[in-house]
Amino acid sequence: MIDEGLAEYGLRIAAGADYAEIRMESVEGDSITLSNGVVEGSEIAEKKGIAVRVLVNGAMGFHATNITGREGMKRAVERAMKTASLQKRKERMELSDEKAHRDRWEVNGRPSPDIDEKISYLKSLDDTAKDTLSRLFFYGEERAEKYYTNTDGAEIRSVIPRMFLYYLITVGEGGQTEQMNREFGNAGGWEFVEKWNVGETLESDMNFMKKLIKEGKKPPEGNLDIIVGPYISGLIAHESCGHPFEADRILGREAAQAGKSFIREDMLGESIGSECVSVVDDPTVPNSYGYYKYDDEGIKAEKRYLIKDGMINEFLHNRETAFYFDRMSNAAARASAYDREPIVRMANTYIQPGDFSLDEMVEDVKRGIYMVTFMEWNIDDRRYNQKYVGEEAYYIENGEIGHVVKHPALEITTPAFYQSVDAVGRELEFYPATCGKGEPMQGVPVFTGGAAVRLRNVRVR
Amino acid sequence: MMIHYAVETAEKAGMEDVVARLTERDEKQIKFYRSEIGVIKEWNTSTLELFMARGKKIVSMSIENPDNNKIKKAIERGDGIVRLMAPKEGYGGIGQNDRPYAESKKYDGGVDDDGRIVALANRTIDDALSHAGEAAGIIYAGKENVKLCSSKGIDEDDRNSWISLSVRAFASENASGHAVRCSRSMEGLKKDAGKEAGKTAEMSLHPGKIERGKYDVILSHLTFANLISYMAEFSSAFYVDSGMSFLAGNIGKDIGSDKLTVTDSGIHPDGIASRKFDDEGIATGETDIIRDGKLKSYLHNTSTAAGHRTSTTGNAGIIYPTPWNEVVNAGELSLEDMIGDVKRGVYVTNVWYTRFQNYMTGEFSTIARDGAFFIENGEIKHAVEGIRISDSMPRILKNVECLSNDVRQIYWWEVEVPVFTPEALVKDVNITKSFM
Repeated sequence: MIDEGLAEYGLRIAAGADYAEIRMESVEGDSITLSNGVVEGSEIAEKKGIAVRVLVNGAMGFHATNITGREGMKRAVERAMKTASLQKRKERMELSDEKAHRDRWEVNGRPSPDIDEKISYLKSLDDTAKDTLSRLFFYGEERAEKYYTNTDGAEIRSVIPRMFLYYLITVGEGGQTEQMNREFGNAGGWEFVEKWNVGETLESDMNFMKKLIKEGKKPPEGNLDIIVGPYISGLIAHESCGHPFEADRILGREAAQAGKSFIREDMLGESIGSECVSVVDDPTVPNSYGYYKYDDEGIKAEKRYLIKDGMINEFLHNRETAFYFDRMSNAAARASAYDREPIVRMANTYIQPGDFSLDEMVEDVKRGIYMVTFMEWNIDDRRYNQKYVGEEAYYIENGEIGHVVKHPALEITTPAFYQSVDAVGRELEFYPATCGKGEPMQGVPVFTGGAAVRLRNVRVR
Repeated sequence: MMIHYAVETAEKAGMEDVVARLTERDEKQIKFYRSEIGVIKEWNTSTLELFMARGKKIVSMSIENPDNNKIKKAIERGDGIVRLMAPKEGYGGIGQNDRPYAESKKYDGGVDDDGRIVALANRTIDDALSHAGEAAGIIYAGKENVKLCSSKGIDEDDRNSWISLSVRAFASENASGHAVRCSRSMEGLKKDAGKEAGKTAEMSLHPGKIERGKYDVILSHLTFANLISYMAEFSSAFYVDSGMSFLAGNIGKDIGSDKLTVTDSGIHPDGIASRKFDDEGIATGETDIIRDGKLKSYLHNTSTAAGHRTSTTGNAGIIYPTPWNEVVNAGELSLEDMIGDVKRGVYVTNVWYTRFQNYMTGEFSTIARDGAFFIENGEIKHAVEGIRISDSMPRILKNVECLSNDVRQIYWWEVEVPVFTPEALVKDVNITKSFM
């Protein structure tokens, strides 16, 4: 139970600040790790505390503590104001003017069973994967209760449960090994664990890896057409569109570690891809892993078109970047826990579906590759040069999906990727992920996904 | 005391193995960007971590801002969970300490002093701007008091302090340099990172191109530390047993160049992660992971050590053994000597996004960021951009040709295990880049 009176007390102490906000969170979670059939243990974690963020004379201070009584709150506010006042800024920091919402929201979900049933479930998955060299399962769940208030008058109360499952399996034959990992996640209750059909995916992954070892051929080199399925197109949308469209990167706020962006403020409205490409970031997708109704600055969430019909359309903003860019926030401020500052983050980023079925995309490819899943991937800190290495991948010849190809690598720049797309699939699929950014690191739940896309005439190794 | 109460209460509830660890921590971070301080963040926390096992059934809990009432409730909940849990086959218990606790590490109670770290931030910005047009960085300082009590009779205190400075300078949108300094004390922290980042940024202007292919590559402190930190994670017996390590099955075998010796140290006097005891309360020490190229040991807690028929290395994580600080033995050459030895190569000053295709084989790629420089006939010719090391960890470790005589401690966003390392010249590294 969150003591809202404590937040009111904190705001009263912060009366001398230009702006103050208090976020109080209580997150209860537990997790189980199963490694090669052995229950490694269960971890029960409660993360409960308060965060105070203030602007004093155009400078920002932040203090977080889990000492949650009046004494803890008083110290937190006073220290946040003190650290803000230590800064002598040349440029005054301000936040965009926003409507102060008062609301309560909650995601409902069926309670999860007792731990013995969860362990039985994981063991049944482990039994499915017995025929592997090694297997690791991790299951986690949490229920986050939050109260947010600020000196503008916003008051948001929320409750959100989330479920998550990860596996990594290794298949080996004849001295060769292949690995595949998968994540499953939703905002909601145990009903989603039942919907994930993890066992089916696991079996399919195992069978594919055996086939890859036995039948996988070296990918052809040279210029080919490539179809990337939603599992990969979602990652690409997240990494090469979502991240470089974060306004704090564009502004240079994350330059020290997470990096900058190849996108500049003056590129809004410019073409970056073919007209069939639109990339969306939408926190309001019901029960999505990245779902929220209000962000961690109390701004009402909305769907954002980052790329619309091939044009750079909109960046992701919190109130700090919105003020700098002279616009309103589009509710992208997220903090992964009470002890993290709210920074610009994605929610659920995906390539908007088009008109093509997979068969239609394949049928007029003479020589190409269909990449379904990946293992290795990376992208530079300006989000310009990237690499995706296929795990499940097939050769396409004369309009037909053929043999398995081993680890085709797509190394391509972001504009070249989006400009090479000539067809977008009509099926929308989502995959959960944990996006990392910030100092200290903040991992926030997101969906990646979208539609399959076809790239024409790109180089593969 | 709370930790004694926690252990006694858990034992009364029938728990056979219990460890309670209370950490009281103050941390501070200055984040500067666009060449001025943007936010100062602070944390003040008190957390009790409680490990309990009965009949090989294990539960671990964390209790924030603990008091006896919260502890009692947590133990009752833990007891309920243990009743329903499955036993951990092969669980080998927690240990009794039979080694002396080292007292050699530094402690600086003033490491997070407001005035000193603000001054350090401003000085670093100014230094970077003397060579470049923009500076951004992080100073992260903290101190903690730790008390640990276990059902094996361990009852110990520890205290730690640390400071790390990570700065990036930009001479243009594409030309940047990065420098990192860290220490356990403000006095031990070298204050010259801004200048180094600025100079590298300046050198990175006007990049040229190189083709994909094999090059002799000099891995800077930041770059080699990145790879060694992954190697250290993979040396945890948990990763080895879970199929997540290319080191599996290689104890006693040559897995690296005979120039390469890597030791895990929990007792380095200036190591950011040095600590008196591990999460079981066992005294930390030094463990050779690689000695003269041969894989000597994985990192163990009491339980994984029992499974591997060896002794704990004092690296608990009770469930996941964890590396502390890695120390790579220095070589004899200066960086200039190493550059002079390279006919056709690249000097990579930093990398990020190291990602693996297969943890068992160690195939990976990582992207050069900040300065990377083409070397020809012993001289740096020009900066290069957009390149990637696409190779495998076993090949990189085996192809270490020589190491520099300049060892630095590296710890930042992309190096999560602190590493004391020289620079390394590695032969025949596969370099790739985007085709279009």
